[in-house]
Amino acid sequence: MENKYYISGQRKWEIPNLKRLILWVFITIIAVSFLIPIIWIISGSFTSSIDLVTKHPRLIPEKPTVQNYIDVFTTNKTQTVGRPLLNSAIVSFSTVFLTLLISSFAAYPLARMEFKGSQFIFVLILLGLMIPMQVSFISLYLLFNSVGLLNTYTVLILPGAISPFGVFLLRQFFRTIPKELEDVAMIDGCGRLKTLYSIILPLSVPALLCLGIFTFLGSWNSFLWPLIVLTKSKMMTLPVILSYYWGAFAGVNEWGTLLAVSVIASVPTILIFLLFQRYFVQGIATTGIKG
Amino acid sequence: METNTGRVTIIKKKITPFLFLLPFLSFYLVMQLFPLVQNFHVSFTEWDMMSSNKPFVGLDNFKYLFFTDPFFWVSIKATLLYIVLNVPSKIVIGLALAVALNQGLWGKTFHRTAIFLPFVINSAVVGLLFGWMLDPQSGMLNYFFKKFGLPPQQWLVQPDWTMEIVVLVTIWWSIAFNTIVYLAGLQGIPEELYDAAKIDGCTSWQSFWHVTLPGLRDTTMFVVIMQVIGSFQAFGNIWLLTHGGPVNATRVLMIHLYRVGFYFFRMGQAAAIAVIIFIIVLILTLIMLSMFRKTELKN
Repeated sequence: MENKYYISGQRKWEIPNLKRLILWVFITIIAVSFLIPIIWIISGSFTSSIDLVTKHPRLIPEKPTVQNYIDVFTTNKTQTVGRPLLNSAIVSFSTVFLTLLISSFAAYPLARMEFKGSQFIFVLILLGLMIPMQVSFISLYLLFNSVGLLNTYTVLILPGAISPFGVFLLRQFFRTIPKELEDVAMIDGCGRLKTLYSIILPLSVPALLCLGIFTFLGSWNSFLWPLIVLTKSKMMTLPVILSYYWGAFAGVNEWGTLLAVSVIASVPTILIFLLFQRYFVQGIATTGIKG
Repeated sequence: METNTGRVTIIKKKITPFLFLLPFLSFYLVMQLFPLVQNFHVSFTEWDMMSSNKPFVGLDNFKYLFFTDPFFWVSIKATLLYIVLNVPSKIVIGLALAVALNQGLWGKTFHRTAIFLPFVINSAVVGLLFGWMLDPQSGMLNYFFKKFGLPPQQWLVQPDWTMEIVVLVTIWWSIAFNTIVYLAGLQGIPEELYDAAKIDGCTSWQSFWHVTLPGLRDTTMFVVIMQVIGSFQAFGNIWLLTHGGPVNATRVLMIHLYRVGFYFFRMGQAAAIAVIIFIIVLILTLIMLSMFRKTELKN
């Protein structure tokens, strides 16, 4: 009888059996209804725009078609989706790469070297954790405007690649790596730089992966900053082009086109979530980072 | 010779940490700390991005916002309404989902994946998806309304219910955050407490009330503050559904800032709004930190 309540170590507080059944029904209904909008958007993207308006809504398309996808890549009325897709990919992957590089470089001395001013710099970085990026968007926009860098990859990538959170996360992680490993490498004649990339970084894969995932999600989904700094359609990223398409196509009921672009914009983040769900959950649970 | 190389190593040792820090620190100063300070300066000037001079106007921008701007208080009201609807409901629902997911029910991986999935979808898609479902002419919600003999509604066109809809969509989109934080909180409550409660004859409902909830006090505090801070910065999820409308019913502070700054190019006023958001967020953060310190001292 006692054991009924504590079968696995993970469960701490349990509801009796009949109530568990009711709870199961409830949570299953909730889970399925959470999925419905996503299923709907996918099925809608395989339905022609005319059917979407004239036929009654259904979860599985009556006459499935890939025409919407062909349209958005080829004959779209304003701008095909290929370029925005490429822009989003370039911006996101560069942001991830630069964030990991710059953050691990900055985190290493803060975790492992003793030098004057390290406390001050660390506090300065903690301060950055508390400042919401958005409040400096106006002057950041004016700054990039004054050097003529609006509508460039630089303006899309650089601000996102400076992550006080990343430095903080990696510093904490680097400190958990046994110092002896590093000492051995140093005795073997490795410099600091070589120690970082041959000892510290290979041992920090979980932390780097976690930072990489959240940086990618944040960059791929970033909306307000690209919306502010982009005016040329050939530089636009997927979320921005989507909001422009919406203004142009919703009025004329071109929903099929819009849904196909939406699916294209969502596939990478959904895949990453499904592949790395564990890191995603741990990242939020241990650090309170927002995607 | 000997001392010379010694000195070189010492200098090298002193410089190395800064070489590692240089890329981050320089960009951090230029792109985060400097704009933050610069923003205060801009808020004291009047500038339309066209004219070459930026006259210093003191507190005029703030005076304008507080006393003349027809939309500033509207946007404060909208932000507060958003917070009042959003924060408590997401606390309750997030906690309920976390408790349910923590029971180890059959199929929990499916439950968890389905509930967390919307969180990674970008706000433009979320806005478009619900804009489509709520479209007064071709949307499915009105289709079902008609089917069940209810009058079709002008969703997102009439001001009534718009903020409620925005909040419902936001809950669907972002409940994963609260749920995950609460799940972590639940797993941090020592099992012995539940044992003790059971020995004392507590029912499961009582032990939820007397063990689980008090055990989640810090978690809840964290979630509330994070949520309120986040609400002052909310933009994408609201902008794409309503553009701040209809009749400014959902014109929250960030949307007001965006309109003032990038529709009318009144940079001074927009910077002043940013300063106000910054001060509010700063105060909330300091409150959070002092609360954490207090609970730390207690333990």
